[in-house]
Amino acid sequence: MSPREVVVTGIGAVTVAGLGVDALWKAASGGVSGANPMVLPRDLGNVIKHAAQAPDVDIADYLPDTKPAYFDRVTALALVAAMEAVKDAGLADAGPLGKRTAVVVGTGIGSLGTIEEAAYNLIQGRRPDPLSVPRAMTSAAASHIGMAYGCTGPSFVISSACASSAQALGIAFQMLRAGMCDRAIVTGAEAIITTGGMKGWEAMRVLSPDLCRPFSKGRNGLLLGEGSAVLVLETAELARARGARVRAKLLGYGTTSDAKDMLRPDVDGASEAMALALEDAGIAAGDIDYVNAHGTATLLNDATESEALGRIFGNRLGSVPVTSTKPIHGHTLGAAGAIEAIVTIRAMEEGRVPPTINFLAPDPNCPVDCVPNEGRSQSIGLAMSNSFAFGGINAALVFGRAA
Amino acid sequence: MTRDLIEVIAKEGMVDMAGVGPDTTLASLNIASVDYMMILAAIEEKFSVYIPMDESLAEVKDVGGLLGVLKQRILAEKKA
Repeated sequence: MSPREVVVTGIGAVTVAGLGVDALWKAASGGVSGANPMVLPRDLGNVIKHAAQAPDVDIADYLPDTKPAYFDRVTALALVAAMEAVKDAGLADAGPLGKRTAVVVGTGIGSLGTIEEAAYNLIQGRRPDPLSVPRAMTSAAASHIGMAYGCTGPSFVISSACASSAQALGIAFQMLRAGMCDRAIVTGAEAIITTGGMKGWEAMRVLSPDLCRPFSKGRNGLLLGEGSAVLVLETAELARARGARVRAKLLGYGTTSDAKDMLRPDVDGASEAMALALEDAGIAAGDIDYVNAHGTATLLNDATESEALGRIFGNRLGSVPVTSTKPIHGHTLGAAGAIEAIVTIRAMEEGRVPPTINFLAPDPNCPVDCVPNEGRSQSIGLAMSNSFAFGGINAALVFGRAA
Repeated sequence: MTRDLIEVIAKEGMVDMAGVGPDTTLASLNIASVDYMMILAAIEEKFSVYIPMDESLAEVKDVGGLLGVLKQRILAEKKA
């Protein structure tokens, strides 16, 4: 028996571009940089002064009956994106979604702001906030989304650094196929633009002190970002039965682990994840019209990803648009897979390839067509989105246009 | 400055700099990507300069080349 088909019926996002998917797509398609001066709770001599920081979200504006003190920023961002996605799916007034709806959240760190505040208070000899634990639990966002929509089915978090929400989408996809549930609210969320978060990433030497330039000559690092994106996945059968609008089909998922190095990416692991996703979707590499790359703009990632793409696409490599939208929404770590899945879906809907901005000149180590600086109108029937994490965890997803 | 830099490289890269010259390759000293991170962090502390991993650093193969790139960055930052 062939597995059940899975479709995307709702999308929502909160990013540096603003509240909503429309704001994200407008920035992505128009090539608007997300690098802004950042605001931190306290200055501990941070050298990098810019980030793709999402707008402030006051959860009391959205859920008047709840207490804002319950929510870390990561949970607030996730809830606001979930509200948009559930409404987009036509389920805002559907009542409790019940035991056949799962909640799967992907996040690299979770509630870093709360953890930092608690540690700061402890060091100052003050008592930690009594809500530290329920707010800081990595699974807090999953529980709050479940409570907001009465989802009583499976609920959990996947944490695999920058592959977190790509893996969340992948495993939710498999759960729907296997019949564990009929619907899943899949979330990617990250809020690590904190004093300590930025200091930690600074020390890694992978943040660009100027501009993030994926696949370009002269690139020197990434732009860190925060935000959330939510996709409502349903079986095609359920979506059809309730007359839901289908925004895209989720067709394939591949995931691998390098098992080699914590920081250095590996060509074998990355290309194998893409090959598995294509095989799972039952399509050939030649059928892919667009790749939303991991494309962090570190020296190593982009060269390694280009080589891995070369193994997949062979001599067709230079004719497949491969773009990185990370200079636009930032590298949002655990949220990246979900945010980029939404950019990919919007690109398919609009027939528009978003550009790779800040591009200076070609790098012989990155022989991809990265659609430099200006987007391109082009029909996209099938697209792939890549997420490769520190620690060597790789994930690739294949999406198809709704109709 | 050169001596300061050599001290930092020796300490953070955990290598014995005795008998090391400008032509000594970084590979022979077993300096890897994580050592680079440690060296660059120490240089930030000492000289207040943020140096990201970019092409000029990735292409460096020997001690003399590494010193050259680091010095150039520190002086450029001082001027700015």
